[in-house]
Amino acid sequence: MAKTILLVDDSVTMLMSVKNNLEINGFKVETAEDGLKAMEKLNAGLKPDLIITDINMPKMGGIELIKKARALPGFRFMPILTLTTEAAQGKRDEGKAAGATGWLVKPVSGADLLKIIKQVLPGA
Amino acid sequence: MTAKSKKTALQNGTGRILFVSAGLMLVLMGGAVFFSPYLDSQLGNYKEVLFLGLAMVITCGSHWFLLETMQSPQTLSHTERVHATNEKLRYILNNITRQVESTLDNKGTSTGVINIVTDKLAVTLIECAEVLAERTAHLNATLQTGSNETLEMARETLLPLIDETADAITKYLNVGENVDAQLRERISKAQHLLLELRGALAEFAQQKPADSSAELSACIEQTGAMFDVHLKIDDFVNQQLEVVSNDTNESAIALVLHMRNLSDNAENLVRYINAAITKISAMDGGVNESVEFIVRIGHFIQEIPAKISADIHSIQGASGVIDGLSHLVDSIKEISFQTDILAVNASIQAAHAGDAGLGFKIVADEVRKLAVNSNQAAEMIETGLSEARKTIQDGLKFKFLDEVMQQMSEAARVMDVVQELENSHEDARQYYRTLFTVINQNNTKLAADIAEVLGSIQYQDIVRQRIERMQSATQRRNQLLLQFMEELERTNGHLADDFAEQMNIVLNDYIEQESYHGNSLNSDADNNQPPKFELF
Repeated sequence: MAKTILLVDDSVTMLMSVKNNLEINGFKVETAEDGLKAMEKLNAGLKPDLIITDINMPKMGGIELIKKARALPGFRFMPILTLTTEAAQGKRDEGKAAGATGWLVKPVSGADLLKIIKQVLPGA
Repeated sequence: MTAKSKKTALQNGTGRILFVSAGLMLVLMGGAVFFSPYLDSQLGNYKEVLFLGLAMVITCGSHWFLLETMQSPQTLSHTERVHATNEKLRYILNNITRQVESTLDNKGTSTGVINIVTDKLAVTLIECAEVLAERTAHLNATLQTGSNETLEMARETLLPLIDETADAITKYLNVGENVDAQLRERISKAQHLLLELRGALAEFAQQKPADSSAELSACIEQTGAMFDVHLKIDDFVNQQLEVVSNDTNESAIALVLHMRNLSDNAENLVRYINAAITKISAMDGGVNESVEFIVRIGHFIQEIPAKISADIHSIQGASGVIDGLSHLVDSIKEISFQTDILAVNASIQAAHAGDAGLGFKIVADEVRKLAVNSNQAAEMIETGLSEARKTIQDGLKFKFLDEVMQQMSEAARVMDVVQELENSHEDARQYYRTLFTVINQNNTKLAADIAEVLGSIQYQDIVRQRIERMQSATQRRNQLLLQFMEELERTNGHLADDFAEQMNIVLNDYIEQESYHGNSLNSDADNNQPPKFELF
């Protein structure tokens, strides 16, 4: 069965490019434009196998989303990757403390993204 | 700016001189009217000369004063100086603000246009890549079915799509280049103008009156410092624009290279499909011929039992007729035998009768001869019938063998044809296996290229964010400039806040923000940057 990935980014370009790449490679992809919409989907019962989120977004940023998602039942060990232009170590530490599984700096090639997803999603 | 200040002072001085000279002329004219009878009696015709002379003196005097005023330095009061300074500063800052606002504005000017256009084009590109991926997947599925018509359709849909994608990329590149060139030209013009204004300010600061107040000097110095930071911000913005330009350029080159690979792989795919269609048609022709032949042979074999059955019926019929004739021969023989016995008995009775039976004896002998002849004829018929039966049976036997031989020959050919068919089938299987392998390899490459294209498009988002940071910094700077102008006007030059320091904060914040984003294409070369991918 295809693994489900929740993709969160305020850029339509990013959402489209990453979504298409993942779908071509057999993943089912759900998208959200910001952290708030992502939380709405998670609260509505969406249980993805992986969350990939941007950091700087309107309404609710990636760090807050990670914190809130980790607090939900069943999301404690779910892999959450950040995909952002932020590269500073301080921000990474903040993400790690919030519960992120990994930190990816944009742009990420299709092959690299799949390689990392396979590392955090065994059997994908 | 200095010229404008001078002009105002001149206007004031000239007005005063003209006012005084006009007053003197009026006094002269009044005096001329009032003392006219007395002067007529005293001076006579010299009166006009006198008035003309006085009028000329007044005119020349006023001109002389006017010339003096224009050539001599203006001595302005403290309030006038502050007013003039503020006016000059306002003029400079108005120019800066107008230029800055027209250069970096979020509503429809360069940066906004970049974001809108690149975003739209990136979306088009992604859509093309998505459809391309979908159709190649469809092509792969189609190849599994191996139908010629669907292959043709797949080829026909694939080619225009490649052209559409290539067009989208070309548009992306063209628009990107145009927008980048326009933006850089605007920035360059703005910097040029700012440098000119900075020069004017420096000149103004040098020309400031020696007795100017400390507030005025501080104000000018702060304005100069703000200019310096302003120019530094512009320099930094320009550096970022160069990074943006390089990134978009590198990204575009990467896109073009990926699309070139994509196009090559798609063309290979189409070539393989064309070759497959030709070869499959040829194989179809061969298989059809073989099948037709086998069907023909099948029909022939199906008819053989019926033919054999008919032949057997014919043989059985002929044998029955011959057997019937044999019974007739037996009957003739029986009649002949009984006739012979009858003739013998008649001869015996004729002998008993003596001479009276001589005639009867002759008849009996003749009858006996007839019986013997009949018997001989019957035997001859029997021999003939036996020969006829034998001939028919032999004839049928040979005919049947011929047919069997022919049948065996055809059967042997059927085996050859079946072997050919099997060989063709094996060829076709091998061919399809190779074709699928090659097409799968091409599809894998296509999928990888599409993924890389989609990865390269992510630079649109990075560029957008870099431009947004530029916009944020320049908006803060412009807001600070406006505050500075308002404060200048409100306090009449007595500035309380350190605006130059605040401008520095804007610059430092901007530089710090940029340092958090190490996402330039060349950032990999920087060893101080944290890794691009990190799993905690």
